[in-house]
Amino acid sequence: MNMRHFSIPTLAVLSAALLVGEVWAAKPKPSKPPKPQKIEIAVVPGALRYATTRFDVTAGAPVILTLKNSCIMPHNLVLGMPGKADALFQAAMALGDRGMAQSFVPETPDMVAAIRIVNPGQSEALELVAPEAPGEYPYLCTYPGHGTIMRGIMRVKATGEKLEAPIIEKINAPEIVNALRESGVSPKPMGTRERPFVMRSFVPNPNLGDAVLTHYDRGLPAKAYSVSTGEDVEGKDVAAIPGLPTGIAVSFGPEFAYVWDSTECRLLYAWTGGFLDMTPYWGGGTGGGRRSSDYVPWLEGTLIYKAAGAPPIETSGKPVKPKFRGYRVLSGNPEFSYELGDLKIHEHITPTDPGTFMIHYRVENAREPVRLVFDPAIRPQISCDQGGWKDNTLEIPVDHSDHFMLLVRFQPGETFKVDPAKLKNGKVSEEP
Amino acid sequence: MRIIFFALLSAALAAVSGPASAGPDDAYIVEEIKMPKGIAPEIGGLAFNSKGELVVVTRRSGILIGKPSKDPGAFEWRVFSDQSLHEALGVLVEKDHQLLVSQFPELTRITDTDGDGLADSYETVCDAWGLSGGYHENAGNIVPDGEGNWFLNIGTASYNGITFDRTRGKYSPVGRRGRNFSSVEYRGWVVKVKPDGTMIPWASGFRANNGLCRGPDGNLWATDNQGDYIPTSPLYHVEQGKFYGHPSSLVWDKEFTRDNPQRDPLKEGKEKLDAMRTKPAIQFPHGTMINSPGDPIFDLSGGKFGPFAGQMLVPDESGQRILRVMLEKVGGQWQGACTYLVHDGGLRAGNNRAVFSPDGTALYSGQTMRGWGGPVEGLQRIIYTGKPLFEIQDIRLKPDGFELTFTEPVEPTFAAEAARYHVQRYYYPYSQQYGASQAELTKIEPTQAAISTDGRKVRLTLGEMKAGRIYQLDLVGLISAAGRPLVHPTVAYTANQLAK
Repeated sequence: MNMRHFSIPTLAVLSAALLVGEVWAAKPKPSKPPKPQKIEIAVVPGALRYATTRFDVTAGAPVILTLKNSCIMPHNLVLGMPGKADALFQAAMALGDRGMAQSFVPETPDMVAAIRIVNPGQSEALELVAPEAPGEYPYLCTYPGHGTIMRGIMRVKATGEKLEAPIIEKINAPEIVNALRESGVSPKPMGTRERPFVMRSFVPNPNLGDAVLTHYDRGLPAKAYSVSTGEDVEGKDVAAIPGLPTGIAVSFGPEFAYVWDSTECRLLYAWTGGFLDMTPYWGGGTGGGRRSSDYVPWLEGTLIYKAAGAPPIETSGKPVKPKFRGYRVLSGNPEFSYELGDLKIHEHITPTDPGTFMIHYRVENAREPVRLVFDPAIRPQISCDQGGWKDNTLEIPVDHSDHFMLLVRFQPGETFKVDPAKLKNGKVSEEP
Repeated sequence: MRIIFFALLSAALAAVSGPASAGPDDAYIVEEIKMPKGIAPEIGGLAFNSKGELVVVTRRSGILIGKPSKDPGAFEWRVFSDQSLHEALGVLVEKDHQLLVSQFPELTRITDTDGDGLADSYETVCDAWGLSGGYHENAGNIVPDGEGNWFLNIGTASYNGITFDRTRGKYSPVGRRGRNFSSVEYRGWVVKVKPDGTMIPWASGFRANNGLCRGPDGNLWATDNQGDYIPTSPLYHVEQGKFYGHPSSLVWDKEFTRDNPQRDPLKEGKEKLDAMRTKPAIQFPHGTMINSPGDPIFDLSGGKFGPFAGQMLVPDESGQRILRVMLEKVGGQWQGACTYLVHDGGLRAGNNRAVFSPDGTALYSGQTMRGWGGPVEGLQRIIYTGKPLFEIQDIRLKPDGFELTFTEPVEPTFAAEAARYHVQRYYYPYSQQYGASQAELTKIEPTQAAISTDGRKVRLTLGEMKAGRIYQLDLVGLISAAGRPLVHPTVAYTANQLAK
């Protein structure tokens, strides 16, 4: 079968259904088949979750399963035999270089049926006959990085048994979006995977260094100033403090947080084990009371990614200063946009399988292959679903630049803890 | 007759003995608006949308939209943004589902594109100013210029804070000098932003400019906060290219640095800077009037908010008061006076942003100390009850004194006693010192108080007037013909120019 990457068959009935038909199609129903049950599975945008996480079917009954890809990333759906979700995930990963060509659908008896990769904004339907054996049949997206968290269950019920309503996560439901965030009050804000917390703030600089911070200017030590004489005080310098003024910090809960920066227009660091303690900036408790001379939030947790070297996307000729354009929000998680010369680049960062996160890229206006050059210090952490590697350089063909994703493996680094002694110093100075 | 007089007198004395507190007969009452739990109600921006809903931008708890109700405790609130913005200090409603919001690093267009009620697009409109890490580096008060562009206040950093070793935008070691400083671009400026994000530096010399508004006649006004080079909090009439007195911002003035890029404004000397600056239209005597002016707003209610239609109101961030400003043009320059609209009466301090209800009958005050001092925060509204009120309605400078207009006819016996008008004249010397004491404080004894035939005006004769001075008038024991005491008997007039 001749398939291009991301090709989408236009027929409603997919080859995958034919492929697996032999698994149970040997027992056709003798009488006139009943009307097929229709199940639609949408995708929570940018969140690596099917909106429908459980649905019931009757054994042996016809079902039309539709995967509606309401996300910005490509997804598939692989339905497996009971208890075989992990095995399917492993089998899909084992496809290696052949994965994309096969839509990451493994050929194994553990698989019941599959919908191949569906691109963002597209839908695909699969007609199947439910298995005869009642049980819980898992389905999962075996696209790289998605398989351990993007899962659901099809429950096959015996004939005559009552079918329960599917469990469907409402996308942007008012009761969710209108819920207030205590995180905006507590000096220790925290998000969740379902509802990330986005905070724009001064942020810590965990020694990122000159090679990374190329678009900031340098703040320098200054002479102390005498308020009585209006003159500099010689020999008494005031240090310039490590800190970054234009960070965007996002927390997914204690497992994952990151800082993307609107000046450098790149992911600067990611960590696990906490978020930012805002006490130095917001003061303790729930009322505003800043702390004197200490406005950099405290980082809590262990770095698992730290930017190294120049920004990865190469521009022809000399480095170009990026222009930040803002972000849109997908299920609470920003997709950052910036311009790099003629390129319009969008980056969306999501925690994926345990110990991994993903940077999903969309690059507009690419006229030649997009080349990403990674510093050797971080190259071993990174893999990609597209393109080809040559040493530390990843080349994405023009026709795949509209979306590709980097999978970044956690690489434990420095650990930051809040010194309890610091919390005691709650003095507030006044100078309005 | 004598008994009635005594009764009136004691009422008047009671009125001047302390600040007014709200009572059932008050023309203005203060109501507490209940905000939802689960947010820090530190209010950085207030606006009404076309549906009459109140948009509340908080410093760190996102953006709420409330449907007002007569019962101040029964507003229906919903969340528009659940993100913690970076010190959001300004909002402008573009459409009901689309706001312009200023935060420390940028001017952002925040939109609910899918109609679910929650914003999902945060478009950076302009981030052309620098940011160095100071807690004082405001970017706020989005004011339309009437031609599709917006004015913004860009505040300086404070030596009490810190400077990061990385700054967004060019860093100037010269600009870093001083108490409140301008180490990165356009700190201490009012800037104009075009819809395409281009920024035009408009006027310089500001320190902690936390108030900006455009009057109905198109004039632009900015308040600033007392501090170094600002002897007392001022109101400026802002015009393109002018310098208003705080020197650090001059490092980003191409004209100033044309011959010497390293030219240091702090080494110019205060006499030279004093000569360069455009003086405030009005100075608010510190302590007496206001300590930290917030965002001014004109009363355009056409009388629905009481007898002061057309006047400017200025909230005080560090006092329980809203000031009332009376402007006039003398010798081609704006100047005028200030008194209180509300002082105490249940009003909190922290008054940072103010907005009128669409029907003009209520002034909403959004409060926060934004991290200074103790937490003072929340939302209150001041309602005009329509009850009679005896106040100084207006004051005009005359060649030899003042003409005072009152909201009601005055009781003529007291009002005609010149000795009841306690007048002090002083000025605030300009220097690098943080605030200044009143200099050349002189008591002036008026020679005559003549009442107009309708009893609404008093012509106060002081004799020879002195330019560049503040005249503070305390009207002791004045009552209206109806027997009401003067609610706020103090008014301070900034006489930059003399009337001819």
